[in-house]
Amino acid sequence: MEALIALSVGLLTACGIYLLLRGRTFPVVLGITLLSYAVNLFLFVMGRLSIGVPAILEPNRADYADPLPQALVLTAIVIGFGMTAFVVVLALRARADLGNDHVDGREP
Amino acid sequence: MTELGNHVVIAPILVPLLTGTLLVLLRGSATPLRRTISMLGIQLLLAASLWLLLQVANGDLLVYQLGSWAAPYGIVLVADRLSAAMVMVTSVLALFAMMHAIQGSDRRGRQYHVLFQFLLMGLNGAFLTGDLFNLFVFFEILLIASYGMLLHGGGAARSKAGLHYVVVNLVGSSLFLFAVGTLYGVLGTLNMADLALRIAALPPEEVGLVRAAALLLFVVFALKAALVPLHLWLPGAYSAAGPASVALFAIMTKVGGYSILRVYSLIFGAEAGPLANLVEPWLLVLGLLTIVVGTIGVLASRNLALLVAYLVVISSGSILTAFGLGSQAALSAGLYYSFQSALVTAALFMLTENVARTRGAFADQLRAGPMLPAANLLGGLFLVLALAVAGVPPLSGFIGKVLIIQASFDSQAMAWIMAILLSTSLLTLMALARAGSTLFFKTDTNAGAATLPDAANLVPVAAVAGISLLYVVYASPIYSYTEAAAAQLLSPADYIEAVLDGEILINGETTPHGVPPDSGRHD
Amino acid sequence: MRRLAGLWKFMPQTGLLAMIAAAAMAGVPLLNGFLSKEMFFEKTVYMATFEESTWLLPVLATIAGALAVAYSLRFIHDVFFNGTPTDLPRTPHDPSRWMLVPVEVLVVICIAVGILPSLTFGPLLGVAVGAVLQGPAPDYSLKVWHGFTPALGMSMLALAGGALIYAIRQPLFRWHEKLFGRIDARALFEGFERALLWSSRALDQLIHRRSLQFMLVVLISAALVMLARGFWGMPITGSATLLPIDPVSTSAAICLAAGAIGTVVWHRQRWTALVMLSVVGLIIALAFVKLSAPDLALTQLSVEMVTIVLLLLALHFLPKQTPRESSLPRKLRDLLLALLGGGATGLLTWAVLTRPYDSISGWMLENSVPGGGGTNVVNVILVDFRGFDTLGEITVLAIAAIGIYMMLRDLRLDVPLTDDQGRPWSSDVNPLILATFSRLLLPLALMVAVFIFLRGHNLPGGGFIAGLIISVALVMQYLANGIAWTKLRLSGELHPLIGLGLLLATATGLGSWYFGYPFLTSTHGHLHLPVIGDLELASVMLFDLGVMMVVIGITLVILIRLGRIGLVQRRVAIDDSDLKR
Repeated sequence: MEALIALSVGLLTACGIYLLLRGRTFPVVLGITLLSYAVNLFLFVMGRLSIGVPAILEPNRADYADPLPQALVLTAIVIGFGMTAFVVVLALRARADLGNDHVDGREP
Repeated sequence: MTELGNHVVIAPILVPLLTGTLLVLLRGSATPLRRTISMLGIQLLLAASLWLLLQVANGDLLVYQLGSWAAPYGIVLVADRLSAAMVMVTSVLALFAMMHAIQGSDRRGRQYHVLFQFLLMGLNGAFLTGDLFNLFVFFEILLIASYGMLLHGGGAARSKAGLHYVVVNLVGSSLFLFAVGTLYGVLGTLNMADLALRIAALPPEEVGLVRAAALLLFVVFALKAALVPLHLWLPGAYSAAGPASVALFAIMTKVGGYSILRVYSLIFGAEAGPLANLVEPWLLVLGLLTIVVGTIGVLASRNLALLVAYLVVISSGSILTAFGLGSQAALSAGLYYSFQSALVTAALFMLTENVARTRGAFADQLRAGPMLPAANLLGGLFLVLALAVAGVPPLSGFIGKVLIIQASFDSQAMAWIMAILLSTSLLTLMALARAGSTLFFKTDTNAGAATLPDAANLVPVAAVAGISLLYVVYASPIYSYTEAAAAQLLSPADYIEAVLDGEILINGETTPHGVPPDSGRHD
Repeated sequence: MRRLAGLWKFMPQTGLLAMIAAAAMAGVPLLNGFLSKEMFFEKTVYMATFEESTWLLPVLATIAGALAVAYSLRFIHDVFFNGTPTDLPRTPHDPSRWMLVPVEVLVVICIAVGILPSLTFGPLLGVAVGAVLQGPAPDYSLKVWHGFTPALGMSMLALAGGALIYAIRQPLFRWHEKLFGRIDARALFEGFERALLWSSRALDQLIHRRSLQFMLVVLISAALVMLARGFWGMPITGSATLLPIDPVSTSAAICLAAGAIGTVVWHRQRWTALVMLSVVGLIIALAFVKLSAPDLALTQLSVEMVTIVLLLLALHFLPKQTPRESSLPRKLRDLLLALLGGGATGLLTWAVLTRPYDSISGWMLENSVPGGGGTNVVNVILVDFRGFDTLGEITVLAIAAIGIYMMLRDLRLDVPLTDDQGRPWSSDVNPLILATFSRLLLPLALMVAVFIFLRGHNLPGGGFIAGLIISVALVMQYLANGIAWTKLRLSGELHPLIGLGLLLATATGLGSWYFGYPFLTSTHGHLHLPVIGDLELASVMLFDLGVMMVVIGITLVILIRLGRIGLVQRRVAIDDSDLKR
C-alpha cells in the first residue's frame, strides 16, 4: 500500500511539474492543481496509513488515524483553494491586459 | 479580568488583523476615513511593537500560548530580542510607507489599506510564531496580501510581473509543505523548540531524511530572501509594483533572512550533531554571488525602480553572507545591516515615485529628461540615500559593511568577502552617481517641463533619510542590541526551555505545561 | 598655483599663518600634526613587530609622510616665495582683520596642542574615544617627547625625505609628464565606465531572463539538488511493517494515474484536460475515505466541485486550445525535470512511510473530549488546538476574495459568442425544471448545511464544509434562475459577510481575554436540543460560524462575479449584433 501511495505522489508531482513548465496560463493552473493534490496527499500520509479505523473517538478504542496531518491538510486545501482561485482570476486579468495567455505576456 | 500587558506578544498580529477587518467592513466609505483608520492602526501597532521591544530588551523570552494549549501541542508565539526588533522595524517602515501612500498613491486602486494591514499581520506573525506549520500559514497570509499589493493599480506590466511572482511563490509554498510534512513524518512534531529537541536525539538512520527536509526548507526561505539563483522573481516584481506597495516590500526579503536565521540557529543549531551548520557554507558562497549578480543588475538597469530593486538583492546578499559566517559578531553585523538597508531601500523606492511623478513621461528612466525645478532637493535626498546604500563613510551602510568585514577576520573567506564587498560598493556608487547625474542634472531641451514635487510627498523620504543618519549616531547602542540578539540566537537552550517548560501565568496562578488549566475550563 | 608666487611681500600675515598650518600638516615637531603622525607611525611599527606580514606598513607610512612634507613645502615655497607674481589681475593684500581671526584661532590651537598636548586636548580625546569604543580607551600617551623611538626616526626621515623630494621636483615632474602625459584620465575613466556598462548589460541579459519557465526550472532544479544533497549516502527504505495492497486500491491508483497522465497528454484540449483533472480530484477524495479521513474527503470533494466550476468559468474567457509551441529539446528537458521531481517526492514519501514514528497527536486524541469538548478530533484540532492556523487560513481566504474582487473590477474580456467549433453559445435562459427544482432544493441544502455545521465538533463536518454547501446551493440559484431573479433576493455585496465572519472569529478569540485567558481559549458545555439531541455547545462554534461566513463570502464573490462578467457582457454583445442585423 505504501508503495502505491508513493507512486501516486510521485506521478502527481511529475505531471504537475511538466504542466507548470508549459508556456500558457491554463496548463500552468492545471499543473499547480496537480501539484497541490500531490502535496495534500503527501502531507496526509505523513501520519502513516490506517485503513478501517474510526475517525471519531469511541469509548474503549485506541487505534485511530493520526488526526493532526488531517487537520494540516484541511488547512492546506483551503489555503490552496484561495490561491488557485486567485491565480485563475489573475490569468484572466493577464490575458485582458496583455492580449494573450502566454505566461510571459508575449506570443513566442 | 487580566491586564492587557499579558497579551502584548500577540498585539502586533491582532492590531493589523482588526484594522484590516474593520476596513473590509467599511468598504465604500470615504477615503479620508479609511486613511485615518489605517493610520491609527499603524500607530497603535507602533506603540505595541515598542512595548514589546522594551519588554524583551533585557533578554526575557515571552511565550504566548494560544488557546491556553501548551507547546508542543498548541501553537505558541515567542518574542525574543530578534523577533521584537523585526516587528519594530516593520512597524516603523509601515508608518513611513503609509505616510507616503496617503499622499495619493493609495487611490490608484481600491483595497490598498486592507491589503496593507493584512500584509503587516502576515509579516508580524511570521516573526513571532514558534510553530513551523503556523509559519507556513503566516507566509501564505503575507504572500497573498503582497500579490494584491503588487497588482494594486493594475496595468500590463503588473499583471505580467504578478503572474510570475504568484506562480513562483505557489511552487515555493508546495516545497514548504513537502519539507514540513517530512519533518512531521519523521519527528512527529511541529513546534520549533520541540523539533530542536527531537533532532538533538535523532537516530543516525533518520539523518538523511531530516537533512533533505532541512535543505528543502532552505530553498523555500532562500526564495523569499532572493538568494541567487532564486532571486529572479524579485527585479520584475519590485520594479513593477507601485512604490507605495514596494516600500513595505523592502522588509519582505528580510522575512526569508529571518526565517533562515531562526530555523537554522534553533532547530538545526549547534546541538543538532550531524545536522549542525547545514546551510552556512551555502549561505556564504551564494550570498557573495548574490552581491555580485545584484551589482551587475544595478549597473545594467535602465530605470531607477529596477536599479533600487537590484539594490534590495545586493543588501539581501550582504545580510546572508554575514549570516553564513555564523559567529555572534557576524550575525550581529548582519542584523545591523539588515535593519538599515530595509529603511534606506524603502526610502529610495518612495523617492523613485516622487522623481517619476515630476518627470512626466520620462518617469524614472535613466536618460536625460526635462529640467527638474527641484533638482537640488531631490538630488540631495538621493545623494544621502545613495551614499548610505552604497556604504560610503560615514553613513549607515558603511558601518554595516565594516562590521561585516570585521566579523570575517577570523574566517577563511575573509579575502573574498573584503574584495567583493568593497569592489561592489565602488561599482554601486558609480552606478548611483551615473543615475543621479542623469536624473537630476542632465536635461534634454526637447523634453518639455517637469512639475514641481509636492513638498509633503518628500516628508517621509526625508524622515527615513534622517533616521538613517540617527542610525549612525546611535550605532553603538543599536549594535549592542543586535549583539545581544545574536547571543540569544546562539544559545537556543533558553528558547527551548522557555517554550517547552514554560509555565503560564493566568490570573496569577500557574499551571504546569502540557495540561490545560482545567479540563472543562472556565465554563 | 602656477601663477601665484612671491606673495610674502604682499600678505605677510596670511603667509605666516599658512606656514604654521602647513608645518603642522607636514608634521613638524611642536605642532599638533607632529603628534598625530607620531602616534600613527608608532602604531604601524607596533603592528609590524606584532605580525610579520605587515612590515610594509611603516615603510609606506613614512613615504606618505614624506609626500605630505613635500606638498606642504611646495605650497609655502611656490605661493609665498619663488620670485614675483606674474599677470595677476589685482595687487594682492592681506584680507581684513575679521577674515583672519578664525585662521588665527585654529593656528593657535595647532600650536597649543602641539606644545601642551595632554593639557589641551587630552580630556576631549578621552571622551571621544570612550564614545566610539564603548569602553575605556586603550593606553596611549600624549607627549611631545617620547625619547628616541622608531616613530621619531620615521618622523625625521619623513621630514628629510620630503625636503629631498621637493628639491628634485623638476626632474620628477618631467618624468611624470613623459610617463603619463598623453593619458587623459577623464577619457580613461569614461572608457572604463562604458566597457563596464556594456559588459554588465550583456551579463544581465544572460542572467536575468524575464521568463517564468526559466524561473521555475531554476527553482525546481534547486529543490532537486538540495534533496539529493540531503539524501546522499543515506538509506532510503526504513524498517516499519507495511500494509498489504488490495485490488480496490490498485484500481483506484490506476484511475488516478490515468487521470493525471490524461491531463498532461490532453492539456492542449483544455475541456478534456479539465475533465481528466476532476477525475484525479475525485480519486483523491476517495483515497481519503479509504484511509479513514472522512472530514478530508468531504472537504476535498466540495473544494473540488467549486474549483472545477471556477476553472470552467475561466476557460470560457480563455482560448480553448493550447498551441503547439514547445520544441522537442524543451519538451525533453521538461520531461526529465518532471520525472526527477516525481521520483524525488515519490522516494521521499516511501522513505517516510517505511519508518516507524511517534507523534504529538496521541495527546490530542486523549485531550480532545476533556479539553476540547468534541469527539471529532480533526475538528477539535482545527478550531481549538490549532485554531490560530484556522484563523490564518480564513484570513488568507478573505484576502484572496479582496484581491480577486480588485482584479475583476473593470475587467474587459472578449466574450466569445461561439464555442471553438463555431456553434453559438445558447442565449436561452434558465430551463424551467432546473429553476423550480433548485428553488425547492435551496431550503433543503441549507438544512443539510446547518446539520453538517452543528455536528462538526463530534462528527465529520464543520464550518468550512457547511459554508461550501451553502455556497453551492446559492450558486445554483444563479445558474438556474438567472441573475436578475437572484439579485432581487440576494445582494451581490459580500464584503460585509467576509468582514463579519473574520470579525466574529477574531472576537471569539478575544472573548477569552475577558476571562483572563490567552487568545482563542475555548470553553464548552452541554445543551439539549430537540431533534438534534444532546449537543456539546462550545465557544468554538462561534469561531466555526465565522469560518463558515468567510467561506460563503469568498465562494460567492468568485463565482458570481466571474459568472456575471460573462453573462452581462454576452448580453451586450448579442444586443449589439442584433442591432447590426
